[in-house]
Amino acid sequence: MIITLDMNSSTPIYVQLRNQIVMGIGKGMLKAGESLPTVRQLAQDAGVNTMTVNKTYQILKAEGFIEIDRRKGAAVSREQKADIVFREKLESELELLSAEASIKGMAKQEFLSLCEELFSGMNPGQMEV
Amino acid sequence: MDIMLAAIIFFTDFGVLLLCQIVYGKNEKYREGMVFGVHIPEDAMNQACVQKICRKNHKRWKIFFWCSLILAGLISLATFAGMEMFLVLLIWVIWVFLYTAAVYVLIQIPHREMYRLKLEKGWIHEPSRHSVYIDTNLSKESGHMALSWRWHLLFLLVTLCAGIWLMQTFHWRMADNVGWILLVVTLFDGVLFLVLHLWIVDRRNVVYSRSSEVNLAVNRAVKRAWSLGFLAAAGMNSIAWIYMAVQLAGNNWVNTEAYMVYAFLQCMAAVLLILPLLPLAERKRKLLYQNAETIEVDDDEYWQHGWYSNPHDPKLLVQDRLNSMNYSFNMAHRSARIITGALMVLTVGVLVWISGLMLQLQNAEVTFTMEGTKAETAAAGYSCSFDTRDIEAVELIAGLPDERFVRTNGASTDKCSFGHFRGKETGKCMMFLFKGYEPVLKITLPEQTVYVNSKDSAKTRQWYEALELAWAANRR
Repeated sequence: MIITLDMNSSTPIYVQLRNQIVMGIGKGMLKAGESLPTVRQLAQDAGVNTMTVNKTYQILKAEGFIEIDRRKGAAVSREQKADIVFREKLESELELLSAEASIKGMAKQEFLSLCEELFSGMNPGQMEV
Repeated sequence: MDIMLAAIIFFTDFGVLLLCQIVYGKNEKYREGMVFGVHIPEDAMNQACVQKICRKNHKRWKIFFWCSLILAGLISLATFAGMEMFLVLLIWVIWVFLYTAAVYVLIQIPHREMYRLKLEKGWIHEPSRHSVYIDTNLSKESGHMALSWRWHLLFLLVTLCAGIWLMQTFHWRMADNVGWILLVVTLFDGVLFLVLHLWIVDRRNVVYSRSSEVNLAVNRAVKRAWSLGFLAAAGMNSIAWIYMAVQLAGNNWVNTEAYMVYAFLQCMAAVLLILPLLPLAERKRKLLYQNAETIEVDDDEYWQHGWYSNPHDPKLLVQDRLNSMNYSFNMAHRSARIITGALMVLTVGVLVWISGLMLQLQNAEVTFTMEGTKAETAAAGYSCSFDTRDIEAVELIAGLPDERFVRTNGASTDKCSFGHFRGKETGKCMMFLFKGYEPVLKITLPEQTVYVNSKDSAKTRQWYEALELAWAANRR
């Protein structure tokens, strides 16, 4: 997959990187079990510090999106579970988004159809690599 | 000597002119989304304002090439006009400086014109201005693209083994340090090629397309070509050393022909380094030509002054815009500015130093002093002190013996020879000689022979008589 980082964005690089990898997994561009570049190589190609990439990988691991093996390196998790912590996080983020949408005058149906449209674009690869 | 110097100057200059013409003279061509190192839309190439800059550049380079060639020819011809070698070399160095500066200006003029035009016309690809693209498939394969660096260890081992073998042979001639110097230089070159190889392996991958296949193919081709070049050059470097080791061990002597073969083999190493890179540009163009999903990276603002200055990029060295075989410093970093300044000071310093040495050589005088039993002869920074009680023989001869002498640490022009030499029969010797002047004072010492003369033959005779007297007194 192609990751795009905006170096002038106010969003920190490690967050951008985390979001792009999650999007990649969600859209099926990164399959379950697919290995990810090493921290050093990814940092080298992105032109950022290895600590930045390491932080991203640790966050993704904590969230259960990737697994890190000492010998094999990082790979997309074979099993993705929506546990209670995730549901709570999702609820709070959706609540915030719903609030923003309603403040801006968006109709409920419009908001839901937008969510549906975006969700249907997701195709997390279940096929193992 | 004149013909040789003229030929060296002319062909070196011609080679430089041709290379610059090939590399920078065609910058008006639209390549990798750029013209003159500035990203513009491809259809903008047909606009009159762009065409005007391109035509002007083409004309400028054509005139510049022919003027430079004529100047280079005139400088090489100056050697026939009876001009001193020092002056010819000084003029040549000034010419090289001016030529380099002119090339830089010729590159900058159209680049800046085009960048100004780009801003005026608004040909800025806003989404990619500050973007960095990473292809995860490409990054994963990064370690497997270049040829293995471990081959360098084999070459280094072979070089070292040849050195150890030479050290153990009976004929090992380390007295003049020729063997040591060549071994150290070969090992240094070998390690340098290894470091450069590792640097290429580690180099940042470039994302050209949304297709990982295209990115992989181009990056693999680039890393393979560079690593192959470094391996071939390292191999040839080792072969050149082995040849010299065999010469040293077998003949107990390194003659001029052997040095020439060594120099030829080292030149071949340079050729082998460049050879795999020559088809690279065409191969890259072909691979990218089929690519329909090009990724535009408009980072022109970091190149707007003609050099790279990007504070967001931690890299100190980046690939050059106009010549992908070249690298450019990231001037946004303080260390890059310091290194560039130091390199410039070093270059000028070395040139001034060499000019000083040449000037010293030009006006050198041979001196000879005796105080008690201590004698010293000196010229152009070289000196030889000895005790007159150590003299084994002293004689006046008409000229140097009819044998081959090789300079080991000294200076030799068509007018004089000063410093350390080695004769095929004489062995280790020092010379303080003006060529074409007689007689020559030959002093045989336990470790070496010293040849001295002066432009004034009476002075040489005077030195001989003084030494003869001291030597005779010591014998009694």
